[in-house]
Order: sequence, then C-alpha cells, then structure tokens
Amino acid sequence: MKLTYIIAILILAFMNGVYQYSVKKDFKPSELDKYVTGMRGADTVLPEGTNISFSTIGVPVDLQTRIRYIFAPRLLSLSNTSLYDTLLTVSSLHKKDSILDAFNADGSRIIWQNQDTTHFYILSSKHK
Amino acid sequence: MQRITLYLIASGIAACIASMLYFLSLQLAFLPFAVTAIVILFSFPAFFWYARQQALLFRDDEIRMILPVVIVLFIFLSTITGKTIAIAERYGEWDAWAIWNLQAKYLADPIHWKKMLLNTKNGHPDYPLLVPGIIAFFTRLLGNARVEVVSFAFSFWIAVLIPVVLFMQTLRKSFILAIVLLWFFATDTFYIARGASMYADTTLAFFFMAALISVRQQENKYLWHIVAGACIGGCSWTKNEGVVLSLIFLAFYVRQLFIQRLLKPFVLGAIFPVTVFVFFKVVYAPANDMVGGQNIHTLQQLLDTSRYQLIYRYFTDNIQQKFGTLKILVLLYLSYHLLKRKMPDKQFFLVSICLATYFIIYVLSVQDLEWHLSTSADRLLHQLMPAMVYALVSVYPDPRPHIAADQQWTMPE
Repeated sequence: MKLTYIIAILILAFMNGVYQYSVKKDFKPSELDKYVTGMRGADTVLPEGTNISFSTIGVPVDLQTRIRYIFAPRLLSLSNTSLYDTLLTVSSLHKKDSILDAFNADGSRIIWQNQDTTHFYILSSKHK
Repeated sequence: MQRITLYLIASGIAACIASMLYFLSLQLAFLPFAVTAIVILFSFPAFFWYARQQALLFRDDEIRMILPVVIVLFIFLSTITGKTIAIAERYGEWDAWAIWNLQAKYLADPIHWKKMLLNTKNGHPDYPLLVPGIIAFFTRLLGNARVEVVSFAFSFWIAVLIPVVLFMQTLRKSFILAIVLLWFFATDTFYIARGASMYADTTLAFFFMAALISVRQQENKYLWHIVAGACIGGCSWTKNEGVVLSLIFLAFYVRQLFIQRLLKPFVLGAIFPVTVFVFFKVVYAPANDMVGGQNIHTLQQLLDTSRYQLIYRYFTDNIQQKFGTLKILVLLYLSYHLLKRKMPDKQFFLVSICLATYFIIYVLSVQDLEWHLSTSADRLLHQLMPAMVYALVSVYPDPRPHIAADQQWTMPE
C-alpha cells in the first residue's frame, strides 16, 4: 500500500510536468520558430507523400535540416532528380521579384508562396 | 524497495517493448493501427501483472517512515519539474528535431515512414529507434498529438525515473544518503537540461544504470537477470553507443552469468530487443558513418598524440564544468578505498572502462575531432553518470545481514 503513495506522487509529478510543458508559452525563441511561421500553410497544399527538392538563393543551404523537420514525413532533399516533383526555394527577401520573374519565365506552376522579414519562400511544381 | 525498483525499471522496459512492437507493426502495412494499439496497450497490463506477481515474491523491506519519504520525494520532484519546465525548449535541442523527433514524425506515418532512411545528411537514419518509436506510437494513439509534447513526456519520465530509482535503492541503506542523492540530481542543471532536451542520452543512461542495478540484486536473481537482459537490449535499441556499453557489460558479467547459471534468464530478457535491433540494422539501417568511414588512415590516428591531448582536455574540462560534484565523489571514493587498501567495486571498473572506450572511439573518430568532441563529449559522460553514481553509492554497507554478506566482491583472478 505504501508503494502506491510513491508511485502516485511520481505519476503526479510526471503529469504536472507534461501539462506545464504543453501549456508553456514563454519558450526561448529559436531559429526553428521563424521557419515554422514562414512555412505556415505550405503543408496544406502538399500531400504527406510528397518528395520535395530544396534549393536556396542567397541563404545557407544548411536551412534544409531545419525545414526538413517542419515538412516531415514528406521528404525534403537537396537532390533534384525525377523523384522530386515539387521544388521549395528559399531566398533572401530582396531577391523575391527576380525569383518570381524566373519562375514565370520557366513556366513552373507556383503552388504556394510566403515571406517574412528576411526570407521569401516559394513552392513550385514541375507539372504545369 | 525491490518491488518499487522493479516497477519503475519495468516501465522503461515496457516503453522499449512498445517501441519495438510498433516498429514491427510497420512491416505489416495492412495492419490497422487499432490492432497495433490494442496489442501494445494490452501487453502493458499483462507485463505489469507479471512484474507484480514476481515482485510479491520479494522479501521486501518495509518503508518505515512513509510520510517523510513522500514529503522528500514531493519537494525534490517539484524542484526537478520546475527547473525542467523552465529550461525546456519548444522543439527541444538540435538532435531532438534533427534526429529523434524527426524520425518520430516519419515513424508516425505508416505509409511513408521509410523515407526517413533517405535523410542521410545530419539525420542519422542508422540510429536505433527506441525513442522515435515510442514517440510515434503515442503520437498516433493520442490522435496525432504534437510530437514535441509526446517527446518531452517520454524524456521527462525517464529523467525523473533515474533519481527516484536511485533514491529507492539507497533508501534501504540510509535515508540521509538517499536525500543527498535526490539533492544531487535536483541541483544538477546539466542533468536536468539533458532531460529537457528530448535527446536519447538520458534513456540510454537509464537502461545502463538499470542493468547494473538489476544484476546486483540478491533476491529472486532469475527475474532480475531477465530484467538486466532486457535493459541491456534496451541500451542497444536506444543508441549505437548502447551496443558498446552492452558489450562491455557482457565482458564483465558473462563469467558470472555462466558460473551462477544465470545466462538463460539474461538471454531471455535480451533476446527480443537484440533481435529487433539486428533486424533493423540488417534490413534498413545504412552504414554508420563512424564504422563505415574507418580505413587504414584512421588506424594511424592511434599514434597521433595530439588527439589524445585534445580528448583528454575536453573530458577533463567537461568533468570540471558539468560533473564537478561527481568528480569529488569519485575522488573521495578512491581515497577511501586506498586508505582501506580495498579494490574499488566491480561496477566502478565497468563504468570506468566504458569511459576509456569512449575515449578510444574519439581517437578513431572519422569526424573533425574538435567538432565531434564539442558536440558530444558531455553527452557521453552524461550517459555514464547515473551508472557511476550507482556504482559509488552501492558500496555503502547494507544494514541487512544477508545482503551485506553478498556484497563482498573481489577482483576475478
């Protein structure tokens, strides 16, 4: 019977911890937050099985590791083979217009775009 | 206190089994999740019922002062909880979202989960799947809950289990020493931060410590060796380093297992996790970068003294900065044994050999050594910390005569 008290207090501490974490608002801002906000809405236009090719213009390609997490379980890769029918391009904001011009000239179908204070995000499909 | 220790360790083993069953269920694409969930959820009570039946056989010690024990636990668990919540990040630290929670997101998708194996850059798809597997299972069970919340919950559970198990193990020896142990963990910011980080290192630390505890129990040894085997299997199914720890554990205990005729229960406990681990490694996992990258040049690194100096500096700096109290305890322990002209405990040697092995692995590392050390040396020490704490406190004499007699140990010839 006494063991029940100890297990109960342990479970209570656990549930309290998980509850507090799930309602916590004042998280230390992280770089990932910025991209989660920037990518908001992109997941609604992409089925879960999509294979996405990733490219950057004027921003480090290392971003792929972070954005891959946001898009999982979709595959987000630096490869650009026929396996990948969707392209995600992330650029610095001041290149937005030239990128849009290039996509229009190329004839790619733009399926989603967004921007934040520093970056421009654009999803395009190879299928016209 | 054996009963409660068994229940607490069993909860970790249950998570390991659930993770493996979930991973195996993904091989059967036609199997509805409801079936998987029912099998796993029904196996929990069955598993704990078995543990309870076994636990009732123990000639267990009564906790004489339940109120002080409950108060002490309440105070220290509240402290650990408060600190953990304050430190916790929304997505965990780097490895959490780059590896463990990422894999969990894939594993939670029964159709596309194999895509995680293509994330070779920074994704480490060769890592074992205990942590992502259990997160994926509960994420689906809770109706696609936020992966980070499930991940935090599992991480936090394991992080509080370690001090509580050590507390219960020490309580039968000394209430004061048990309190000191809890204080040690509750004030260890680095330990708490690892628990909040959603990494797999604390889980590995738990299984390794639990294996050392289990193999040392003096009553119902058959059952405890099943538990020890399962914990060693759990080490392997948690992280690749767990395989190294398991092999060192076996090297230390295989003779004893043979002599005491306890190899059978140990293998019984380990067989399922080890089989699933081997299945994953053979069928799915790409080559590990550390193993696959070895060549004749890496052997030459063994002769490069500057590598030894750099690793030594990182190890000592980390011990000084993040494990200062433990360092003092180890020095006190060694001084005591020197004065008494006694050999340190077998498990102290075992953990020390694990540390030395990690040292050699760094010497042979194919990664940039400075980067490799700066990103992982403290975590490897963290993996061994609870086991070392247990090795240190377990030499404190047990007042029960039948146990005290069994604690005598000499170096094997």
